[in-house]
Amino acid sequence: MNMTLGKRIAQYRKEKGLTQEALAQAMNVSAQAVSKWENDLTCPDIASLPLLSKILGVTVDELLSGKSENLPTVAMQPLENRKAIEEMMLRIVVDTADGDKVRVNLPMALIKVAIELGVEMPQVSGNSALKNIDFKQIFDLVSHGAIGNLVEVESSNGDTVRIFVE
Amino acid sequence: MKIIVETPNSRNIRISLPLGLILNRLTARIASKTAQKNGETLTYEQAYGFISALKDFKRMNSGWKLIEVDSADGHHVEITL
Repeated sequence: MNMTLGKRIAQYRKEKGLTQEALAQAMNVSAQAVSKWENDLTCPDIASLPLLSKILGVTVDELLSGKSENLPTVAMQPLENRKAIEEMMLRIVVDTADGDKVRVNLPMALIKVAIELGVEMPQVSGNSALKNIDFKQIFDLVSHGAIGNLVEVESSNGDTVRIFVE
Repeated sequence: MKIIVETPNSRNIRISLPLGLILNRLTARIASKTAQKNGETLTYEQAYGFISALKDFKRMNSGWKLIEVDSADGHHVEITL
C-alpha cells in the first residue's frame, strides 16, 4: 500500500489525536498550510521535517518513506526516566489485508483502574479484538519500565496487529 | 463524548452525548445486569468504578480519541471523549 507524504502526515496527526489547527500551531504555520500538505498540494519545508516528525512521534525516515522498521522497539526505562502510569498510553493498531484499519488509544490510567477493579477489558469495551490481550501482563511490563512495541503479530493472511505503549 | 460515523455515500452521523447522561449510576447498573445476563461477571461496583475513572480521565483529557476505525469500503467511525 503506497501512501503519499500528505496521507502519512494526516494519518500520524490523527493517531496523535491532533487537529490540523493544533499541528499548524505547533509548527508555526497556518492551518491551510497543513491542509495543503495533507492533500498533497504542497510539501512541508525540508528544514521543518525534524520538528514535524518530532510532533508526530515518528522519525523523518518513517515520515518520508512510510517504512515502519523504526517502530518503537521495546525498551526498559530506568526508574528516573519513567513517566507516571497515568501519563502513558497504550495503542492498539490493527491493519487488515482487506484495508480495514482499527486504532484504539487506551490511557494506562483506565487500564490500571480496570485491573484494580478486576474488570476484564472486553467487558468494558465490547471489542472482541481485545479478548485475547492480557492487559494485566502488559500493565506489569509497563509498570516495570517497559515501553515501546510490546506486541507485533503479522498473520499469514496479511493482517497485522501491534500493541505499543508510549 | 462524540461519536462520528462517516459513510462513503456521505450519510454522516455526528452525535454528541454528555458523558454524565450516558455514564452514571443507572447505566452502571444496566451494564452490570446486562453483563450478568450474558454470563459475564461485572458487578455494579466494578462498572461504576470504571465509569468514575473514565469521567475523571475525561476531565483532564477532553477530546481524547478512544477509537478510530477506517474500513476498506470507506466507512469511518470515531469515538472521542
